[in-house]
Amino acid sequence: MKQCGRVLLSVGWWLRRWFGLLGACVAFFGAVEPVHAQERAEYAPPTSRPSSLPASSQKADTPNQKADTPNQKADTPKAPIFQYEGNFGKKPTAADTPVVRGGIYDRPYIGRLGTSEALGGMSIALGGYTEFLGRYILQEGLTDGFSFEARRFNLFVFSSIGRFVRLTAELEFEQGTSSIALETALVDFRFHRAFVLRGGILLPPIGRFNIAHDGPRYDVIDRPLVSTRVIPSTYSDIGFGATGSFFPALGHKLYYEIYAVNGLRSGIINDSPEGTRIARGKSLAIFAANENGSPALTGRIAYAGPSGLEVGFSGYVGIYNRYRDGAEEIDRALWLKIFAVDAEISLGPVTIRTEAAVAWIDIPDGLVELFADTQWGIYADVIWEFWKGRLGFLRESAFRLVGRVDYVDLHVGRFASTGQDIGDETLRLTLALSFRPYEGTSLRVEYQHSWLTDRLGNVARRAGVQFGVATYF
Amino acid sequence: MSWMFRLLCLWSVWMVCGSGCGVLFTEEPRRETVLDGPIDGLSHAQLQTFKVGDEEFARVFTPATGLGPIFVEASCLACHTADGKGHPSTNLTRFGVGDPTDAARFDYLLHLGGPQLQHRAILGYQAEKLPNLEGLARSVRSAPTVTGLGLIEAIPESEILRYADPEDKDGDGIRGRPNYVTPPSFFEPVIEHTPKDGKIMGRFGRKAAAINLLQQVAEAYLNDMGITSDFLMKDLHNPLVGGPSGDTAPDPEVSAATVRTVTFYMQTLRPPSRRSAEDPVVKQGEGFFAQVGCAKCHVPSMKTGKSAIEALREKTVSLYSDLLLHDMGPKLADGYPEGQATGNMWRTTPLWGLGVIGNLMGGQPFYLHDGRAKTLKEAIDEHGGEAQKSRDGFFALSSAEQEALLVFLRSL
Ligand code: HEC
Ligand code: HEC
Repeated sequence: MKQCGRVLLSVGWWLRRWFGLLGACVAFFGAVEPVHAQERAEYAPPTSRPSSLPASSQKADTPNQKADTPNQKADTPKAPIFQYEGNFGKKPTAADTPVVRGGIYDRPYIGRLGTSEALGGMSIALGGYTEFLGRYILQEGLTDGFSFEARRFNLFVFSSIGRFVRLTAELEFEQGTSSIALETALVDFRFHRAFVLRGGILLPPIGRFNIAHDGPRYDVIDRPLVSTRVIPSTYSDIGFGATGSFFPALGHKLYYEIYAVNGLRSGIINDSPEGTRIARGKSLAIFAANENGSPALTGRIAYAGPSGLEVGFSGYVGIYNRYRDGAEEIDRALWLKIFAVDAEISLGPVTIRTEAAVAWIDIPDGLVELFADTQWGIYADVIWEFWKGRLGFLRESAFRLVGRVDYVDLHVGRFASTGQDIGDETLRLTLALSFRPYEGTSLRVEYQHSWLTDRLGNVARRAGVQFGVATYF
Repeated sequence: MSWMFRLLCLWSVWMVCGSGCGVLFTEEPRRETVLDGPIDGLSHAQLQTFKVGDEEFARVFTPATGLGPIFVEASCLACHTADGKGHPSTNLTRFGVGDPTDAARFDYLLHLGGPQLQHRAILGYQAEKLPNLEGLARSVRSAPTVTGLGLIEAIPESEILRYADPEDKDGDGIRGRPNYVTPPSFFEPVIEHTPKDGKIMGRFGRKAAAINLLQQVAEAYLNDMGITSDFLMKDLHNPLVGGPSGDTAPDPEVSAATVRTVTFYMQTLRPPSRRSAEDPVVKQGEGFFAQVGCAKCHVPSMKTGKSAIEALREKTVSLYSDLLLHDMGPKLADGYPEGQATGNMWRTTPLWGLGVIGNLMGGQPFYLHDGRAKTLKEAIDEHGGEAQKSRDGFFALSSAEQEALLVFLRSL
């Protein structure tokens, strides 16, 4: 028995070496360091507040020179690595573990983690964000009046169980406690920065928004239509896979995520009175078992470079119906495929962020035309930080003006009977003013105007104002 | 000072918003440009019922709430768009083989899924297909406008029969026949009926085969959406599959109360309001409408009699229909008999709301029983049989006169 353990240990050691070797290979392109060095850096206590310059005024996304050198002695205390950056004006370093900007490891609470040399020991951090709003919306001149909404209250937990294993979880309360969901609960096994095994309840990386959707990161209250309709954000699922990042050259990062998950279900059409609605494919039952025994695949590859530039390509493929029961084939397998592109760049005080997605859905013969087999959508935010500085006792407050265009066509196609275009489209314009007393807090007011086109092409207008608060804590 | 300035800015923004409110914050469509809304004179309790009925009418069924297993559309509203007409994509088809002049000698092919085709099925079930039979008659129908139907229901039979002329005694070529049909088992009269050979006069549906709204609504739930009710408990299934399946929602899928509430909604949906009725061109067109004989079938108005709903009692109904069957010639014939309506007969379509329905169908209206006509002129052109003379009369008018008549139709 003991022998066995020893063998395993040495195999493990060799594996580690092997990954070290791989690391050296990657170092050929740029900067890589073995996990332990990186980790020491990560857990060093923060000495000073990280700089909060807007992403644009920073140097390019250059890996920290010091951390670049493999086998670096990370004794020198340095800024925490789990810092949130990008829009919040922090720059990633070579030891950049937050794989996705705004994603699960790129949140302020982790930055407060104060264990320095407790490697191998247990460290835990608790954080979260909350979001609430008030709105007055009219549709075709009619309104239900003014109403408030406690939109979300999310709790994050992060725990580093050891240098090799860490856990992240997010518990979401929507509309008070009317919906409580475990949005994330995943465990990472960090073999190497370029290869982290991940399993648990995770966010399938379809587009960037689904994996980085925290309210306080955005200056517009409502989520982008494409990211909630074509990509069913927030979509979490149970699965297993890998993620990691490479630094091919100074200031350039490539990263990936790929997972097998249980996948979206037949609610896409079965529970969707209005036509194909991918978001209805989500179900709590997802977390218990796979309805059809065929896992769905989802992944994203992204490039991050200078000027906060980030471009990602992602997708999802899976069968959404119960096409077999045990070994018995009881129906044709119906596929759902989603492809998404996302991008972000900062030019001076202006940041542009966009995401587009297209979905293809197999529709059974008996439901053709009633349900869409193709959907697509796009959104673009133009964020102008027109003022930043000290405002009384607020040392780093900022004002932002944001314009957003949203468009989704939830039924691409024509009526067989008349050749007319099938509508089911929405165009939405939003203009928002956001005040950020601190980086992670946004106080915003916005005006939005939507043109909703029904199946037959009738257009209804919807407009109104909303104001809200979203803050990390 | 600078605060003063800012306040001033805010104030001016507010003012601009105020004047452009309709643009910025949307406007309610004018009553005469839409079809929805209750009839005048309802009590609060009636308005509440109306509202619930409105929601039920718009309710989209899913497999979980009972849809199917075979169906045509998933909600009343999907076919009766904004309480108006159906788009051709929502058309339903009835089929059968046999003698188109006699329903008794016509086979409605129940064993093959007749009389109505449900060409859609819930996930995992098999939809029906039209059988490949020689001489198969198909009746393709688009949903008619459902406004003002309570008024139509409250018109006494005697009032309608005034316009009937089955033997063409006046020799104008226009006959006009009532359709007498067998009432369903759950039939409940809302007005006084004078049965003939155990059959009762129908007035709803393209061939006037439904006697009253309760019948029409209960049958629509079952045949159009696969929704069982206390009135019609047996769910549909595809006979070629051999048995019901998939649909695990307990029957009845809607209660009698729901069917009655929707029936009440149908009864109290207001009739369409006219636009520019006093315009001289409209008046002129109205004259031509009578002159070429359109008004012989499209009777401008009738009067209601007694009704349990006060708002429907003793009212003038400007429906522009005689609610009778007419032989409309071979172009419009479908070869499908229903009750005493033969394969080339249709009930005169009420013309009210004609000018509005385009607004509700993305700008492109569709007319006639299957939505084949895209313009009013095309619809008139299709008139044949008893309406041939009238149709020819229309096309003999000068183009300005024709236009005036069309302007009149659009004012309805
Ligand atoms: C598949 C489309 C479809 C659906 C769904 C549908 N209808 Fe209809 N409706 C029609 C058609 C077609 C007719 C004409 C029927 C006929 O000719 O017999 C009609 C006729 C009617 C009429 C008679 C109108 C008149 O002028 O004679 C009423 C009332 C009505 N429907 C109500 C309803 C209600 C209530 C529902 C939902 C419970 C409903 N319909 C669902 C297509 C539909
Ligand atoms: C013999 C009786 C008769 C006469 C005369 C007649 N119609 Fe009709 N009309 C009908 C019938 C029946 C229908 C329904 C036919 C169908 O749907 O196939 C109809 C349908 C219509 C429609 C389509 C309505 C809709 O909503 O689909 C229009 C418009 C119309 N008639 C206008 C006219 C005009 C204008 C005239 C005079 C030139 C006229 N009709 C004369 C019986 C008549």
